[in-house]
Amino acid sequence: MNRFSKIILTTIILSLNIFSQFSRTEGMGSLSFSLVDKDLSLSPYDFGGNPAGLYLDEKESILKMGAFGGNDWGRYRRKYDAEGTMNAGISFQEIKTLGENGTFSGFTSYNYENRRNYYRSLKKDPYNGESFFFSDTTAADFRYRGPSVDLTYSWEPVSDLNAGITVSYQLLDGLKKQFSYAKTIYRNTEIQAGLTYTPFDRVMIGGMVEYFDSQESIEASDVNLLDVELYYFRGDNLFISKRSSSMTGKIKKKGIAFGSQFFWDNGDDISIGVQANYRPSDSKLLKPFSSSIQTFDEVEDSYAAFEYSDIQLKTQYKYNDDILFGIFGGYYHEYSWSKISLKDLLIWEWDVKKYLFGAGGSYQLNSSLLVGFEYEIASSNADSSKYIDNKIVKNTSIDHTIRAGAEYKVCDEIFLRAGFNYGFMAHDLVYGGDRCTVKKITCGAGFPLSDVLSVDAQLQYRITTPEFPANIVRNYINGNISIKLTAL
Amino acid sequence: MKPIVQLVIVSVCAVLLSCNEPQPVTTEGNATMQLIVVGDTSLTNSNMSYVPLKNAKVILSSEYGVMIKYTDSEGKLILNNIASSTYSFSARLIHPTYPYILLVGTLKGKEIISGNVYTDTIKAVQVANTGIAINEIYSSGPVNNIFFFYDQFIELYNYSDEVRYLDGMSVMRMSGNTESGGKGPGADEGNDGDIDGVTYIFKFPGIPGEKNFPFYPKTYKVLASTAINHKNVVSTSFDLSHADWEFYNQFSISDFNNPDVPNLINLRSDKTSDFLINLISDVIVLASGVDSVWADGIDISTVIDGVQYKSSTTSSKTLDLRVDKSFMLSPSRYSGESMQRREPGGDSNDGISDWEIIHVATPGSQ
Repeated sequence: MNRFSKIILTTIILSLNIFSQFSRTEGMGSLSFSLVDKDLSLSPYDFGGNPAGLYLDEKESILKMGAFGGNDWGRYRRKYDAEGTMNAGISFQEIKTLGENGTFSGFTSYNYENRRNYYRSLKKDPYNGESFFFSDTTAADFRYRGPSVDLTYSWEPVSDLNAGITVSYQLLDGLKKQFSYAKTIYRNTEIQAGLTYTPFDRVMIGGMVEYFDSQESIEASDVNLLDVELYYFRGDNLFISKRSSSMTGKIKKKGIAFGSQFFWDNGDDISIGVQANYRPSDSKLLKPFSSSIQTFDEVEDSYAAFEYSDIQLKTQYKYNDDILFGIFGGYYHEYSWSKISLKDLLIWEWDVKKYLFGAGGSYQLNSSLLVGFEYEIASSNADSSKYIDNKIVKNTSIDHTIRAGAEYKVCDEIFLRAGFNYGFMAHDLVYGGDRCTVKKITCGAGFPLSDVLSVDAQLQYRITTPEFPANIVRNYINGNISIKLTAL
Repeated sequence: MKPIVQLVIVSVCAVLLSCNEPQPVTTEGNATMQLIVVGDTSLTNSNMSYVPLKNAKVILSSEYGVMIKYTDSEGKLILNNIASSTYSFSARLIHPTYPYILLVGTLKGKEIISGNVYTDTIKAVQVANTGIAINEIYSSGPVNNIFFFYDQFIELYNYSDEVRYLDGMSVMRMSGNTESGGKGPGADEGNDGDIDGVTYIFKFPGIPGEKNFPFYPKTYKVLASTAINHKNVVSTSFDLSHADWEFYNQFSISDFNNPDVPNLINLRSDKTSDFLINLISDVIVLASGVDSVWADGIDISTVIDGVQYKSSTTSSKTLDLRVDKSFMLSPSRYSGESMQRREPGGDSNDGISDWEIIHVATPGSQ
C-alpha cells in the first residue's frame, strides 16, 4: 500500500532535488499541465521519459550546474521514519547537440542525506512495499552519500525514426552513527532504450524498455565490544532475532519496465499525449544462515513481487495567444505480494488503484504577468492483506488538489514566480492519517547573468496536517538553484 | 524494425520476466492450536489425578521468540492465527493446594503449519523439589568499553519451605570436554552417569550434610566473583561488597578477597585465576558436593541444578538432558543485562521456558 504513494513522493522529491529541471514550474506552485514550458512539453522525452525523444527535444547545447537542498521534520511520521531528513547535493548536466549525429546528455550529481534519529531500520527504503524489515535496537542518525551518473544518447538512424539509450548508475554509502554502526553500500544500475517513430504528419508513437537492478549490502559490526543484535521482521510484528559480533544482510531488486507513448497535434491549437507503462519487479532479502550442521553465506529469507502499470493522458488546448487550457487524466495500478521463501507462505498482499483527473488553464494577463490554475481530483482504493499480522484493511480516499501560480516579468529576461497549493486527502495512504490538509507555498526567480549565462531558482515549503492523529504535522522545505550556460 | 530485432527484444523480455517466482497459495498466520492443560495434583504415586489446570501459564517458544498466555477456567487455551514454526509449549502452575509444589508440563518440537488446526494435551507433573535453584546468572558485564566484566555473580534461591544448608556444596563452570569427538561441556561422556568438562570448581566450606551455613526458605544468596563495589571502576556496574559469598581462589596471587564476605574456595590447584564465566555461552552447575572428584565427571545424582546459556539457538546444546532439557539465551556482551528465572526458583528443567533476559541485574532479589 505504501509503495505506490512512495513512488509518487519519491518521484516528486527526485524531480525537485536531484534533477532540478523544473525550477520554473515548481516556483509557480508546481503547475504541471496547464501552461507551456520547455521542460514539461508534450514530447516523448518530457512526458514519457523516452530517451529517443532527446534528439527532438533538445536543440541547443547547454551546460547546467545546480545545487539543491531540503529538509523535513515533524511528528507526523511512520514507525521506521526518521525524525527528520536533511538532503543536499550538487549536480552538473551537459546537453550537447551533434547535428545529424544526434544529441548527447550527461548528468552527474553528488547527493548527501542525513536521517535524524532514524528509527532502528537498517534498510535504505523501509517502506518500499516489502513485508520484511531489517532493524537493530537503536534510533540514531543515518547518513547516506554518493554520486549518480546518467548518460543519454539519442539519434535519428533513419528518417522519422529516432532511437535513444540511457545508462544510469548510482552509488551510495550509508553509515549509522551509533550502535549498531551499520554500514550500507547501495548501488543501482538502470539501462533504458527507446524508439520514436513518426508514421504520419503530426503523429508520433514511441516505445521503450528499461532494465534496472539494485543491491543494498548491509553490514552491522559494532566498533566497541557489544554484540550486534538484529531483527529480521516478517510483517509488522513477528521477527527473528539474531546476535553476533558481525551481521550482514543484502537486499536485491530487479525489474523491467515497458513504456509506450502516443502524441498527436493538429498543428495549431490542440495537442494530445498518451502514455502507458508496465513495470514488474521483485525484491529479495538475503541473509547468512547457519545451523549445527550447515552454513551458508546467503540464503533467500523473504521475497516480494511487484507489478505496476499506469496509463496517462495529457492534452492542451490553446484558446488564443493568451489562454491555454490543459487536462490531465491517469490510472495507476500497483499490486504486490511477499512471501517467506523457505516456507513458501504468502505473508502480505496488497492492491492499489488510483484514478486521477485534472483540469486547468493559464492566462497571459498582460505582457508581464502569467497566471495559472489547476484542479485535480483523485480516487484511490487500497486493499491491504497482512496475513501474517492478521490485519486486513481496505482504504479508500478521495483527494483534491488546487494549484495556483504566477510568473511576473520584471524586465527583460528577469522573472519572479510564486505559487500556492492546497490539498485535501480523506486518507493519507503514505503516512496513515485521516482528513489531511496539505498546504504548499512556492517562489522562484529567473534572471540572466550575461548573454550566455542565466540563473533559475526555486524554494518551496509544504506542511501536511492530519485531523487524526491530531496535533501533529510534517514539514518540508526544499529548493534548488541552477546556472545555465548556453552555447553561442 | 526488422523482425529479428523484434524477436530479440521479446525474447530478452520474456527471459527477464520469467525470473519472477510464483505466488504462494497458502497464507501465513492462519494456524490454530487448541491446547488442554491437565496436571497431576495427587500426593501419592499410585493414584495420579489429572485435573484441568485453570489459569496455568503457557509459554510458547519458537524462532519468533517467546509468548506467554494463560489457560481459561477449563484448562483450555486456543491460539488462533499463529505463524508457522516449530513450537515448544511449557505449562506451569503452582499446585492449587500446596504452594511449594510446581506443576510443570511440556510439549516440545510441535511443527505448526499455517492453514491447519492442531489439538494437543499437556500433562503437567509435579517437579522434583531440590529446594535450591540457580536463580540468576549475570555474566555479560556492565555497559562499558574497557572490557570490564569482573562484576559477575550467580544468585541462588531457596524455593522450598525448609531451611537448607550450603555446607560442602560446589559451584562449577563446565567449558571443557571439547576434544575432537567429545560431546561437549556438561555432557555425559562415556554414558557413565556423570557430566564432564569441569573447568572451575569452587566449594562452600564444610562437608555435605553438616548444618553450619543455613539457607533460609524464600531467600536469595548472591555469589560474587569479586565482592567489591564495582561502581568505583565502572559506573554502570553494581555494588557487590555486601554479597553473601565470594569466589576466592586461594591459589591465585592476585585474586582480591573481601574479608567481610565468606568464601567459596577453589578445588583445582591448577587453576590460578578467579571464578569467571563466559559472557555469552557457558554451563553452570550447582552440586551437593558429595562427588568432589571432578576429574572423572560429576555424578548426575549429586547435581542440584544446572543450566546452559548460549548466544544463539543454532549453536549446539551440550548439557545433559537429565540436568536441563534445553538452554537459555544469553544477553549481549557488555549490555548490563542478566539472566533470571521467570519465577523465583521456578525450575522445570527446561531452561528456555524457565529463564528470561532482564535489562538490569537484580542481585539478591527477583
